Parts: sequence; C-alpha cells; structure tokens
Amino acid sequence: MDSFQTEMLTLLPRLRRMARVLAWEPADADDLTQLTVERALLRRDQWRPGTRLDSWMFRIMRNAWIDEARARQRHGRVLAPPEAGAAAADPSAPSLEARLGASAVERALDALPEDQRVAVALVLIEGLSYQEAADSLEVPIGTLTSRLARGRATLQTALIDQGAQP
Amino acid sequence: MTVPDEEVFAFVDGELPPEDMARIEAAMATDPQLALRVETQRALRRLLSGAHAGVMRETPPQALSAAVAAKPPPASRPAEVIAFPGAKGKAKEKARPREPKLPKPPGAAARGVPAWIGLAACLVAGLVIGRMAAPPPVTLNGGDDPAPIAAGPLAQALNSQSAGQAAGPVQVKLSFKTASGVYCRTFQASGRSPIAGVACRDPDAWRVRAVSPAGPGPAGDYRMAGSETPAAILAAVDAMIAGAPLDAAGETKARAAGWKPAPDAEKGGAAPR
Repeated sequence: MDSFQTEMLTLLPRLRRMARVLAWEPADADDLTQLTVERALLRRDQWRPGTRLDSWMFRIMRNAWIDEARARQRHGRVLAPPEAGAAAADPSAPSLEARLGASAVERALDALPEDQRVAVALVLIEGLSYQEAADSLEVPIGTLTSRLARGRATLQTALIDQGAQP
Repeated sequence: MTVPDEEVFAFVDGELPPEDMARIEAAMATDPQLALRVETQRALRRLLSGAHAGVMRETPPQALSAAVAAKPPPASRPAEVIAFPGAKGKAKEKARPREPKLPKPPGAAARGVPAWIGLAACLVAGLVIGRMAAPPPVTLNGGDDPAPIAAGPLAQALNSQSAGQAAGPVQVKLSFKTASGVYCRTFQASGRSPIAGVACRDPDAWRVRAVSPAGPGPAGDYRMAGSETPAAILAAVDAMIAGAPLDAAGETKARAAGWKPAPDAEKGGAAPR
C-alpha cells in the first residue's frame, strides 16, 4: 500500500458513515463504499495531492450513488413511527435518549429530501466547509447553503422544537 | 439588530469572516433571542454529530480494507489487449482496441509481462516458431508485422468447432465476416490465466488479430464473468464486422467451403443480413 491507499484506509469509517446517509441499509451502504473505493483507485491520477482526499471521495461516492440509484430503486427504508421520535425526545429520560436518540436523529435525517440530506451530512456531520461541500456536490455554493438551510429548518422542527434536548 | 437565519448558520458553521464572527459574538451578549437561535443550531450540530456513529466505531469489513489495499493499477495503462494489426493491405480491418468500460479489478493489473501472455503464446505459432525462423516479432498495439498464426488446439477449434459449442480448452464464441468477405471468429481459451481473442482466416491459416485476458482476475470476486468476451475484443470485432454474425447455417456453409473468403457481391455462403 502506498500513502494514497493508507489515507483511504483511515477514511473508511467516514466513507461508510456517509454511505449510510445515502443508502441507509448497511449492506447497500457497504456496497456503495466498495464501489467508491474501486472508482477512486481507478481515478487516482485525477486526485490532486495537497487537496482533501475526503471531499474528493465523497464526490465519487455521490456520483456512484446516483449511478446506482438509477439502476436500482432504493428499498427497505424504514420510516420512523411518530411515537419513537417522541420517546427519544423525552428530556426526562436521558438514558432512553442515549439508546434511541441517535436513531431518532438518523430517521429525521433520512426523511429529508436527498439533496438536503447530503448537504447536511457533508457540513454538519463530516465537517466540510461550504466550499468543499459545494465542490463535492458539484453545485454553486449558494445552492449548497440553501439546501443546508432548508434541511436545518426541517431537522430543527423534528428534533428540537418538539422537545428533544441535545 | 436583526440577524438573518443564513448568518446564524454561517456563524455556527464557522463560515463568517473574522470581523462578522466577532460582531455576532458581541450581539449575542445583549440579545437573548439571538443567543437562543445560535444555541439551537449548536444543539442541532451536536445531535447530528452522533448520527450513524455506530459505524464509525466498527472495524470496517475485511472486503473493504482489501479493496483499498488492492495493488495500484499502473497510471494510464493502455487497454489490456494485444492487437496484431496486420497483414498486408488490410489496414481497414485493423483492430482498434479501446479501454474497456467496466472497472477492471485493480489486482488484475498487468505489471511487466502479464501471465495471460503465456497462454497466448502457446496458441499462436508466431511467438514460438518465430524465434527460430526469425520472422518479425509480435508487436503491441501497432506496427505492420503480420499477425501470428493460430496453432495447435486453437487452429483446430477455429477450423472445426461450431460457435457456442462447449468443448475442449478452446471455445469459439462468434463467427462473422469482414467487409472484404474474410471470415473471423472470436475464441476463448481456458487456463490459469484465461484469454480471449479474435482470429481471421487468411488463405493459408488463421491469424490471430487480437488477444486479451478474460475471466476473473486473481482476486476472483470481481465483475468479469469468465464466459463473457472482454470489451477490448468486442471493440476489435466492432471494428471489423460487416453485417450480423453468422448463424449456424452460415457457419456450416463457411466451414464446408474451407473458410475461403466469400465477398457479399458474390452472394456466397455469407449470412444474408
């Protein structure tokens, strides 16, 4: 393995996490991660050393997902029943939140339209800058921030205004 | 002062210029409403940072780590095909291999002389006899040397086997005619490093126009099925074929005629389509 591959190896957990945001089902997500890795290795000469490997690979993943989604409908999606969100949001039950909170967040995230979901994930989960996230999605920065704003508004309603405490 | 939502978001995301960061920071001290909006967005960030956190703690599956560690393919490697552009006055039928579209298994990348060349060498006379009789050597992707002559089991299969018939170490997959009426056939040879190729019938012998590795790479679990003709060979066929491939009747007729060229003008034993 060379340094390119070593860096990619350390990115695997984050790539798998982003794949979950896109594909939801663990098996589908790992298939997507594998496809992303294979494509990245094939196109490694297109990566400019000194730039961020993570946002470059997120872009490859995003495009791979679009290709895959064209061929295959997203399936097996589980929508959160309303009471699960309420239980997770109960501020008097922190242990319950600890167990269910993350999945309430995940469900709320998954309920977002894909454009907003990916924008939220890149900036708020992965910590990319607006510019890096916009580059990953190949959209203007204004498009990115507007998707981000809409996604945030929906998540705030679902997770905070209804009583959940961080 | 009124701070728009977008600016609150940018503040929380650390995307404002330093002077604006400081301005919001100062305003929060005197504006509880603003402070609450900022705190709400910080809370949202904290919540989201835990999303899918489980997968971050897991050790990635072995298959993924192995995919990352696969041997790097040589930079901008040419299509994995040897073309023998050939023989006198047939430049138009020159095989034009192009990069296969499917992603290649990284582990199967050719470094130096790939293993499949060995099997290719066993099936053509040009490589083996060539060294003794000293005709021009086989060239890669260019040159005007005559294409190597099919030998042994390959020659036998090309002469007598029906396309798609499963028999022996060499399998003929497809028969077709070129614009000048010359018969060509694609084949696959099984072995540890399987190959596929295309050969065309000269008056004296079958000449191999192109060969390429076929079937799964060493890693075994990649996409190319052993029964499929590689994209590079299909591209070579595309460059040569005139009309549709021969059907069984057309093949039988061509075989009976000793695979002699049958230009369409003569309405010889060619496929009528």
